[in-house]
Amino acid sequence: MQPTSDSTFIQLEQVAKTYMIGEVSVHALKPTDLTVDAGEFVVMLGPSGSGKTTLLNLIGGIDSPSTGSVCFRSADLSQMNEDQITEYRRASVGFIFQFFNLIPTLTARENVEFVAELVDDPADVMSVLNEVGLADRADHFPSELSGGEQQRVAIARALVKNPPLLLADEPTGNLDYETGKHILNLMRQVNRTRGITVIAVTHNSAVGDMSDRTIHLRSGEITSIETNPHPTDPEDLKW
Amino acid sequence: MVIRKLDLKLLRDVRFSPWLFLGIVLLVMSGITLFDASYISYNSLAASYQLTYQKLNMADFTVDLQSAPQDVVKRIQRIPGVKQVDGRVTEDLTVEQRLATKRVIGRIISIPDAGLPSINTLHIVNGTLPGRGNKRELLLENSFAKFNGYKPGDFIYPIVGDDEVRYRVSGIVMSPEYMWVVASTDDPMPQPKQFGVMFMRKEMADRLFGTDGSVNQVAVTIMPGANRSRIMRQAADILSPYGADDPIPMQKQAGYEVLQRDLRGFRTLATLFPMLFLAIAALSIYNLLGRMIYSQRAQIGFMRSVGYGRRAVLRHYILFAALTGLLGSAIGTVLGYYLAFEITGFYATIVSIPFTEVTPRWGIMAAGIGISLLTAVLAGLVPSLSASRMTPAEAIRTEAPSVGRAPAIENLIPRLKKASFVWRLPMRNLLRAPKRTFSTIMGIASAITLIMVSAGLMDSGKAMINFYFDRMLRYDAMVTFIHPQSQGDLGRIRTWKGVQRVEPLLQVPVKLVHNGREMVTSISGIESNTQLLALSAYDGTRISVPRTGIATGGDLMKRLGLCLGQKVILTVPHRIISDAASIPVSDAEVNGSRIGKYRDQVFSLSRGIQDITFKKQVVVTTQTYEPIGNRLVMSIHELRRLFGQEFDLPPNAISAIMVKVAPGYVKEVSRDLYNLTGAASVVDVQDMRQQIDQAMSVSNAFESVMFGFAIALAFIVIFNSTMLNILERTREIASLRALGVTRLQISSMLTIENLCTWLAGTVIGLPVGRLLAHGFVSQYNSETFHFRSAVFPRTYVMTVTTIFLTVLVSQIPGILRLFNLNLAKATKELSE
Repeated sequence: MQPTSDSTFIQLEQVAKTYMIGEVSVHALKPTDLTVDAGEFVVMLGPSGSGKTTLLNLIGGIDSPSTGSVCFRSADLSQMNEDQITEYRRASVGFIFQFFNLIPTLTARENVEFVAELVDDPADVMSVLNEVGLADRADHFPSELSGGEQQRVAIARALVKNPPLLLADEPTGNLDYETGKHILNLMRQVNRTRGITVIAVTHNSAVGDMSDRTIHLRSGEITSIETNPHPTDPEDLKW
Repeated sequence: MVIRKLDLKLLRDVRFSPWLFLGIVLLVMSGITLFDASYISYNSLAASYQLTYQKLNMADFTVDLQSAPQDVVKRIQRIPGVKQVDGRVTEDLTVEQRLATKRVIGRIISIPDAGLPSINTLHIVNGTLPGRGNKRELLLENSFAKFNGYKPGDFIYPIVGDDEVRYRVSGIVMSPEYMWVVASTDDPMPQPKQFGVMFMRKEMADRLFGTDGSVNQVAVTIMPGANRSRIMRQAADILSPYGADDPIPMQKQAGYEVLQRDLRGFRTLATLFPMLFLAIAALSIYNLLGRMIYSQRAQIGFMRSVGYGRRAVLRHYILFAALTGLLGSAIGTVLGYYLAFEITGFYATIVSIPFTEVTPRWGIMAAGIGISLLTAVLAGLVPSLSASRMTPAEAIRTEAPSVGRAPAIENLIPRLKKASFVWRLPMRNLLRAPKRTFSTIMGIASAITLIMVSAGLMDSGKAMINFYFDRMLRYDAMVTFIHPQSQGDLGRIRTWKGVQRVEPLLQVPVKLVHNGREMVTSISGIESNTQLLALSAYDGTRISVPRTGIATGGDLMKRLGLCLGQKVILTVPHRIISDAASIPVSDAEVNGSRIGKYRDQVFSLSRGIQDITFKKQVVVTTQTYEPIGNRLVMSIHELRRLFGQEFDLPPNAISAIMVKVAPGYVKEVSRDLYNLTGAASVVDVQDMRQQIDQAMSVSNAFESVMFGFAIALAFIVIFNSTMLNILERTREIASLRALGVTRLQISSMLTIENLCTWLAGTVIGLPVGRLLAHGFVSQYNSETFHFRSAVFPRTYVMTVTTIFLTVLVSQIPGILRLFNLNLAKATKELSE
């Protein structure tokens, strides 16, 4: 493993992933190197099948690489046992999914509490719901919430653990334009105000304008990385 | 109390998937209800017998003897460890019943001159004790009274010598010795209508039989902890000068032993069937939980991705399974107890049990709860483990479409390729999700299996009775004579109006001895060209009466360790000798010869008691199927040749006549048969059939309960899997609806798909069910009833039709739900 700088938060070295989908072998990610610094807002851009979700899953420790290593604060995830990797996800990662993945049988508040119970020092559940603007909808079940509201619950659920890393997989993919911008704004806020590192995956190129760095992927490999010294305010994004 | 959110999710899963939860709870509940009901019933029956034996002070052993003075009782009382001794007179005789216009076999047992006997005491059901002195009164055993319509105040007519003596029935009683009314262990067929036990004051019995203060049976109870074998030995030594038989311990007493045999059969059924039921329920729970977990893949993926460990996920789903197990078993335990109460009560009405004891059996209930919890947890373990082992990314990812294939049938029938998608899609769907298809097919197959097993038990019982009465006993009435006589009456009976055929029968009591094993029974001698008493092989084919040697059933051969071609020793049963000896000399001369009695037969023993210890060897030449009891058959000519001299039989001796009668003439001919000189009893075959039906009604009732449960389980299993099958594909079907596929087309497709699984399940379930039914039936065989496994064609039709209708009905709620879908919402949602 290459020596990392102090601010290196995440480092991937020659990470590759091959899936078997049905009877087909898919090279989802070719050998890839990447580093992410603490406090960065990184957007991974690419069309369907480019390997961006795979990359995100590997960073989040919900999937393991076929080859290579993924390090979080110098700790190699691929060397961790099941308990350690669970602890990593529990303490360090907050996830936001395209399809929200709320537990349909729990209310908004209970969905957030469901995750808060996992950590020793969670944020106050109602404060977090208030932060995402859903305090007044706290006792509603997912089926009673709009898509944007469900995604805000998902963000609250991710933030309640106070994770240093927030991973979002197509967070606006299932939302309308205005709601999508609100969600992106929320993510930007937690990045700036709480210093949480955010990695978001999207196929919407406009979202890249709000990031510190944009990583372009195609056919399972990184094609380019753009640094953005002047990220656009999410409210000004257009697509 | 703060409830953890993961546990809250568990409770909410229950609330949001009520059908699934309820389905599993019902599965567990039915299994435990059946387990508890059958096992508690079995235990309650055993306890009720014990309670009756205890309350009525059943003798620990009895000794039959020729005759002994009353003071022998005092000598036995002095044996250390003996608690109580009772001496009594017991005599078998013929009884005339004017009430029921039937002559039957009776047994008179003496009771003390005052009060009830201290040992083998009686439970008075109705009426009062017999009066003292010259009052000609007696007590009648309950089953006989019930079957023949006796009540206190009626009269009954025991025949002593040639005289009918009129006795008034003062009361109806139950006896611990005759809860199951059998004359002897060797003839275990219950004969509540044909065998009447009467209890008479000792002074009256002495007057009737001339026993003059002596006794011919001694009943003994022993103190707790005393050495029974030693006491029996000492009692036998004291009684041996009085022609005593070996002491008969309680376990060998006829009524006790036959009850225990019946209980053993019940226990087999009460254990095996619920186990099969629970195994099938477990398989179904496994399928249902597996599918529930599959539908929660995304949730599992999320839980794992936010930091819930494998153990937490495993615990979560195991808890769901345990919750269903706990709730199902709690309800099942209550229902099982209630049902046990009903079954035991019903049994008590069939068998004369005065005291029933149905109490909650905590051990059984706890075992039931344990078994159900274990069943549910084990059934949930595999899917829960697989859920916990899913990697979060794998769980969260939308599953790749399974590989679509055209079924081979489309290649075999090219026209099918051009058929409407309403036909082609269901076929492809079945292949597309093989696990789902397999689990549905297995659900249907197991439901069919369960129905086949319970129906098979009932069919086998009915087939056995039908075979016995329709194929073997071809006569309508049989008259048995007091003494073997020459066959002069045959020709006369043939001329009676309505009589179609008449055949002679000679029955000789024998003791079979082979390889140190003994069995007391009788040999029936019949004509070689008999048409009224058919012999059959196990496969049902007709067998001729052997010209030489004996024919007998497989069970008897097994009990004696006999093989075809082997010789068996025939000797005279001890009982004949002792009974003959017990008759006072003045009365022993009947028609100029001494007599011996065996069951309803009275045999002439011209040479006296000491000269009849003969031994004959006969070869077993033919093996027959004997559905009920154990019968030995040989040619009547051969039998006369073998035993004619020893029993001093008249030329062409017969002891009974079988008569085939035209419809409508049975009663008239039976009445005339009674009036034949020397007639001891007349058996009406329909009456006999009724008694056997009665004897089997308990197991029939129990089998009916099992059959009901099998149908219920079949419905639950199929309902759940069909409902899930539809609901799992809500989004897919909503998409089809959105594309313009009509409701009729969708319901047609689903119906075709479900009927394909029904067909496959039927093809698997019928042979498996038949095989298991065969296994169960062979376990259920007793020494009295020998079942051949049978499943009637109508049972196949009923099973297939029931399951077919269940499949059709089960899909209705799911289809109705699909019809009311919000298409916009349903097509957008990834999963429910």
